[in-house]
Amino acid sequence: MDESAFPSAVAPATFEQALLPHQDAAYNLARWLMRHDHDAEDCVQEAFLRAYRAFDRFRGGDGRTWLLAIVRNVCYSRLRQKRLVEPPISFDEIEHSSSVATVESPWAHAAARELLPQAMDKLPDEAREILVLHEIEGCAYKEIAAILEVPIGTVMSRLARARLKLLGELQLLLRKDLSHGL
Amino acid sequence: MDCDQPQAFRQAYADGELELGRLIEFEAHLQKCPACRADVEKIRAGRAALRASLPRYAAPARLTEKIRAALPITAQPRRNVTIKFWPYLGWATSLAAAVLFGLFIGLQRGQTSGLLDEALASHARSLMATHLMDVVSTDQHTVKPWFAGKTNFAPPVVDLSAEGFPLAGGRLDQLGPQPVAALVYARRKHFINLFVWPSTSGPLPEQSAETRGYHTLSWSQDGLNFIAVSEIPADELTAFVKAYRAQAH
Ligand SMILES: [Zn+2]
Repeated sequence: MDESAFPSAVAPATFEQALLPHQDAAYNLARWLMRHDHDAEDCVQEAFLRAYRAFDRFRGGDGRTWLLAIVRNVCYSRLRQKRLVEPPISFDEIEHSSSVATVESPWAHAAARELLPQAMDKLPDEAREILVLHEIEGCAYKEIAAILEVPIGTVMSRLARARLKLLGELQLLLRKDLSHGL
Repeated sequence: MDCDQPQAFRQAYADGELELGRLIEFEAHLQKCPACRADVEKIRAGRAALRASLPRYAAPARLTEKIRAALPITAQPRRNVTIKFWPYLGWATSLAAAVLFGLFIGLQRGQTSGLLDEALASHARSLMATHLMDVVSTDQHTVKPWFAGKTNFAPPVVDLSAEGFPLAGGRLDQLGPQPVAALVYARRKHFINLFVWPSTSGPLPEQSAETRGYHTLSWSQDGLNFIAVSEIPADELTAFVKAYRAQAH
């Protein structure tokens, strides 16, 4: 496209410029958290509405980070409504065992890739979301820290444990898969 | 430093997220420790498999309509600004910031007019326009000859995919009046623009700077000047430059 589509003077970002380009990122995160097409769409729609209302507090910078933080909040409040009784145990507080660190790599098995979505499904929301942000959206630790509103050190340890947890789940599924095949 | 680094530290290293001091320390250790090297390789392989296998859900087409319908923005367009969606597939992530930044730099250029500012502005423009690359290829053997005949110098085109910076392509550009070659490398969903030109009018000082979330690094080697620009974290850009310089030499 040519540059005439852009304003020629320095103007504050319009809502369209700053946020609408990030709707794929918004949808991807919502879809992984909600695990349901329509729920994800609803959440993204609500997130855009909230973002629109709060847009005068947007201080410029990375629109994606700002939007994803809102998407995430919308998703979590919907999830809380859905699972009335589920205790909100933080992923950071469980499983400090270091034995998972020795999990062998499951990628040698052809079935591993097919089982990956199932393994992701078994993860706590906080583990799944950090993998989505880092591995799919390509967010840097700094950006993830801003989206999750946690220190970078927490991002670092949570991501490491999310990866190990995913490998562990994948191993379990593979073992089941293999014994099933016998 | 020895082999007792926790997993999170090793993964942060593999992700290019260690701060420079720790990075240098750990790399010194890796030089002499095959076990840790193997471990880092294992982490990288696992991450690559994960990235290749996890699907990114694309927003359904109707979602745009639903969003617009829910907001008052279509009913009353602001000024006469029309924004179309950039045809940029998965790469659209940092465009909005780039647009703004390009505009900002555009206004400031008259006053500051440093090469770094020019490089920043060019980087921002290259992201928002369709003019990121004239030659799109991940193969150095395609990009390198492309510059031959278009420039009177040969920008070193090296393969840094093993270091996590795959080549994306190149283009001809200008920094102020200076024609330059721009090599484009990718980092996750971000780009690095590397501007190269002969240092006939003097070598560049080795310096780094940060402006509005963009990092620049400049240096000279073998009769050429270089400026690397990107929005990736400073230590990642440093790692990129280090890897590039080692191979280009
Ligand atoms: Zn070691």
